[in-house]
Amino acid sequence: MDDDAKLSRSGFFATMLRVGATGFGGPMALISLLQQHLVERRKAVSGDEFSEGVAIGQILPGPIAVDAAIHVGYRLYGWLGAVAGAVGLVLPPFLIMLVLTPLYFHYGRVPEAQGFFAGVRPAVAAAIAAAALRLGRRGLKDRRGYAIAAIVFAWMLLRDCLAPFCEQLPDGSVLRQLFTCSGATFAVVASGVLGMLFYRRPAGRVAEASDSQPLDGKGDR
Amino acid sequence: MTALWKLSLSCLRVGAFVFGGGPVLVPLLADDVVGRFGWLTAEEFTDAVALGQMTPGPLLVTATFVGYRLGVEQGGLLGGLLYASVATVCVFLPSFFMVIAVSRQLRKFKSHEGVRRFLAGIGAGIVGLVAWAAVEIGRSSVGSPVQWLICGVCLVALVRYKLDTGLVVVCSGILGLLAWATGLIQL
Repeated sequence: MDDDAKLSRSGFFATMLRVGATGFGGPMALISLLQQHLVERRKAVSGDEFSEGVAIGQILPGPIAVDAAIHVGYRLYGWLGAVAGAVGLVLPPFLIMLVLTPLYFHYGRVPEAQGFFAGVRPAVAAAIAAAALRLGRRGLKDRRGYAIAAIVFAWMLLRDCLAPFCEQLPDGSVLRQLFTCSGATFAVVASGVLGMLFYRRPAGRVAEASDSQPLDGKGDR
Repeated sequence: MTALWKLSLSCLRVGAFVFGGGPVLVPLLADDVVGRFGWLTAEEFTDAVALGQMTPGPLLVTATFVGYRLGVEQGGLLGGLLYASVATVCVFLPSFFMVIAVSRQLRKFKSHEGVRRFLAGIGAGIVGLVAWAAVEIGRSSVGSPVQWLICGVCLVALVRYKLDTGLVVVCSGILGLLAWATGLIQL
């Protein structure tokens, strides 16, 4: 409609709703759809500014596309824009989930539904494994990266082995609480700390290596 | 009330640590939802992730499913709506404020030596964490040989042919339905 006019705040919100409602197929698909709408079609932001949003999404917690939308909204319209970006992207899937969840608990026990989900579950395992490979292409830049990933993986497996033993312990005991606190969140924080230790020495060289050969030898995995 | 409190804290914590986005949510959320509080069984949680993948938008709406389930037990339909909303807001809130805080000083933030090393470590660590989550889902939710076959086909479709995740999940659901109808998968 108003392709040449500057995108208004409500127009931005409407665009976000549209992306949120049509962004099927995982994080990469969502980001490229967002870029298509904001940069190419509505020209709300420059490509550089959008890339900056994606960069923020990659280094901060939260889905990359949502982080990028918050960044762009904040840059264009301040606080309300940031809210419009987040709410617009999340509201459509939130509403769909509100419909699907009761349906699941109502009809999930029907044999046909059980058959369907028996097929869905292996696909989820595959999708998470594929996500690990995708994250690995970005996150594993040298031996130190592999070492940290291996330590985290081994730690979580070790926790699995200890789980039956730890669940026998009384609820309030120190060991039991230590076990509870040593899960995935701990692993994320610990890998950050390991990063601070491992990447200490030749900082300049590491930055260079990561810029010049991000896909080195792993492109075909 | 305490359940709502626990749910908010869990979701805030997950939201504050999902570096790398969607897939990292799976091990973080499972820790509390399946392991610590037992709100969902492992299979229900896997199904929740699947629904998150079938819906458009970010995978973090899996938290909506968890909130709804817990809320319905506490206070019927209204409870479900309330808990689902709280869970969803809480899971996005930490990253919302972090993005705004960093938004205007990205370059300064990125070039800070300590931050850079910390984030490099996390970028590597989450690979191991998500890989473990995949193994865990395989162990808890994939049993029969036919299911492992489906898993392999999906992996090839996703990695080699780069098909959409939502599409692959729905298609393998249909495959599962067919396998069940022909008696290949016993339930």
